[in-house]
Amino acid sequence: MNRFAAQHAPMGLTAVLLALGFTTTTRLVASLRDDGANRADTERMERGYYERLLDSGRRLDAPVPVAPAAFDAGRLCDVVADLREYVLKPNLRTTHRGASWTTNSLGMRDREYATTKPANTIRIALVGDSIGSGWGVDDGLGFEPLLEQALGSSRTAKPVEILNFSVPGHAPGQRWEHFRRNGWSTGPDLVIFEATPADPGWDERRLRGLLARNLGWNSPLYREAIAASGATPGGDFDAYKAALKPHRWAILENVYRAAVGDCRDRGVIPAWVLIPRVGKPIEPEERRKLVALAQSAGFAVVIDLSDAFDGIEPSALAIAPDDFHPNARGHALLAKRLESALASRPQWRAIVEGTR
Amino acid sequence: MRPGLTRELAPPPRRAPHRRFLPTPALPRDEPGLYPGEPMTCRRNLAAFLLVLAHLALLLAVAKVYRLEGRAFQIMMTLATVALPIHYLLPFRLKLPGFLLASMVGLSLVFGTVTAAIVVTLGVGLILLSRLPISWNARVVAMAAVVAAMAAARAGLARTPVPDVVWPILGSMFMFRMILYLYELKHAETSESFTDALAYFFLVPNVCFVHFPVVDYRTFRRGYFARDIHETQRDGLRMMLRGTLHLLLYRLVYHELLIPMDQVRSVPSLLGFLSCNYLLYLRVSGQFHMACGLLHLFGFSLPETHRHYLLATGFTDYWRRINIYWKDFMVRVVFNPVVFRLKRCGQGPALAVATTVVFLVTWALHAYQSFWLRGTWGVSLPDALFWAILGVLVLVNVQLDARTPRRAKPRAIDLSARPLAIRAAKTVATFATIALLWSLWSSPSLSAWFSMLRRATG
Repeated sequence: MNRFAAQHAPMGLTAVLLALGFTTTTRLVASLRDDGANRADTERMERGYYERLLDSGRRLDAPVPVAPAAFDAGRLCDVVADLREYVLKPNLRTTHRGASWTTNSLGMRDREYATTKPANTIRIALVGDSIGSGWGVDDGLGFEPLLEQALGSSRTAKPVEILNFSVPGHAPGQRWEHFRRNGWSTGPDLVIFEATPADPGWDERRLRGLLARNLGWNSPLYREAIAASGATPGGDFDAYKAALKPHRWAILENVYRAAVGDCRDRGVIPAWVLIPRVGKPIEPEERRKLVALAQSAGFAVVIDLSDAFDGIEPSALAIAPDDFHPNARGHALLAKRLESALASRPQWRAIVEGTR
Repeated sequence: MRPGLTRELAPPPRRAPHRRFLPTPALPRDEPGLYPGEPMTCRRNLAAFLLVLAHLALLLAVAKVYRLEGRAFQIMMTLATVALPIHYLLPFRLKLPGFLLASMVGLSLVFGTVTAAIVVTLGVGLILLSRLPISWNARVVAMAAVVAAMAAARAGLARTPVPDVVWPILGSMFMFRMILYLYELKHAETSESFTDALAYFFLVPNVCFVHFPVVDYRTFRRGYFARDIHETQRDGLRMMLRGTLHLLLYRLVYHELLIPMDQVRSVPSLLGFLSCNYLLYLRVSGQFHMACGLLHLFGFSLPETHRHYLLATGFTDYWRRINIYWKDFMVRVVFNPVVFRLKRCGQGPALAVATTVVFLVTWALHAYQSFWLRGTWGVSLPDALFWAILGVLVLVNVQLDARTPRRAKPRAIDLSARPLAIRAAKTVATFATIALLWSLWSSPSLSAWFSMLRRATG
């Protein structure tokens, strides 16, 4: 009996592990099943000898050899001396990490558009981050160009243009600052503010470095939260981090409110879309809080696509095994979901029918 | 690895792994579960095998549910589950070619046919080069020249039509095993078969783990069907389960417990960081257990790769328990030859020089490994200090051990209070020292490491 037990105990333990794996309710099991980078690594934590070696191994089996999320500001971007830190270079045509990258004369990863909106045309501005800009997929395969194509071929009767103001790595406040400086002159009818589950805390992480470099103190996007945090000029990165961290939700709320306010001042409809990251499911509580924040900030259209990748293996949707950016299939899914979500909203119908 | 090669010598105490098994003649007559002429260790038993297969299927399901180690690992596990029954039923003489075929299929499935074809072509070329009918020294010189040319291509100094993805795969298979193979060719009493060499370099699990244990050629060969296949397979499954547990524990540490270095602000947070940062190594031990466990399923009886390294009671003990294959590699290729050459200088100096050389070579070979796998040498001041300090600690320990008179090793741990307390104190001290050193090794710079210590203590 003992010999039998000793021989089969490993199989029993394996079965227990398997049963535990099917329990998806606890945070512990979610961590055990999480094959992506942890929060700290997502913030580009330096890692040790073996971690780097093992990761180099994991990337080798990627169908397309694309490196993970770390944003390389060098080749694609110009550094700017304001709180955006960097913007995409205009008129770029290159291949970056295995994907073709083309930017237009306005510095968008997009086709060319006239600066002034053509008559009888619906214009949408997309304000987003790396997923919005189609990081890791070829030109034309991001959800923005696919959505533009889908909306253009639907029964809108008017041409639809989506101008992509997304910049990889930009925090919500930086996204809005970039659009504020460049987007209004293009005359959008609708602004889509792309949000991700990483948004709470993103501005706070960026601000630590910005404030230490004496940037962002007077930005209307951040001023209120900075004052509430008690941060004052002359501090260092660590001091700002300690001061700002408890205010990360307040910082995001201020950014959202500022974006909504700017849109309302110009009579433009502000829409907010929550985009999922591959293999990094958002906690239900965090999702509810984020959606509620967008609603309370006053976005006229709030679309939650955080379940768009549910039920599909992350390996089938990510650009690389250890990357949360969607591949072409993931972007196509997002475009389809966003198109149908928009179509059901009265605000969109009003734009299409010209009755707003 | 010819039929009827080995039989087990029991018990095998204090014997080097590659000396644990000796050849035995094949059975001359028909036996149930055996094809004519097959060794007894190969005897098939459907009930026993189905249990093995069921356990492997469960491990595959666990890997899928927990998304363990990415796409390549899951392909390889699926492939192993499909290939194992076929391999099991094959006559003994076809088992090794069958294993090789599974490796090639795995390589194609994971990296694509073109990449796999290039890796195999270059790999076969390297093996043929090592077996050229010229003097051993001339072969080593030729090999060094070819490797230098490949390194130039890997570094981007020479333009070749070989895709970049080929170099880490090829490097992973050949960078250390070729050293051992050449060493073996120099010392082997009989000629080595080409199929054995192919199987040694193109190992199925190497397809998904480019960071791979340095399997010794002689151990690999002598362990092949050295014991009853079902016992070997059950050992392999136990290793794989251990690997699974290590990989899951790694996830817990990585996602739930590890804090970034810049969040260390107090002594408790420092202790937490040091422990968790060191425990990230669970991923390496997990992968190594998985890789060796998988080889067991195909009849390769290999020693374990790690032995409770978190419970080491001293630095030599730690060196013996963590990455045992590396330790054996260094002992065989560096330590023993140096000690042998210096034996006239006396035991103390010989051991001191040999230990120093082992750590210098280990440091250099870790940079060499980083070059092949990542494309950068990764040499830094923290890296150099880590190996230097660990080397000195082991050196001192080796000298102390050499001066302590040898006593018969007790069969069981003394559970009385005093020895247990001493053992616990030694374990904690070793763990703490290694964890501190590990944090230095993984630190981006020496100043960042000191800054972390300052924040924690002051």
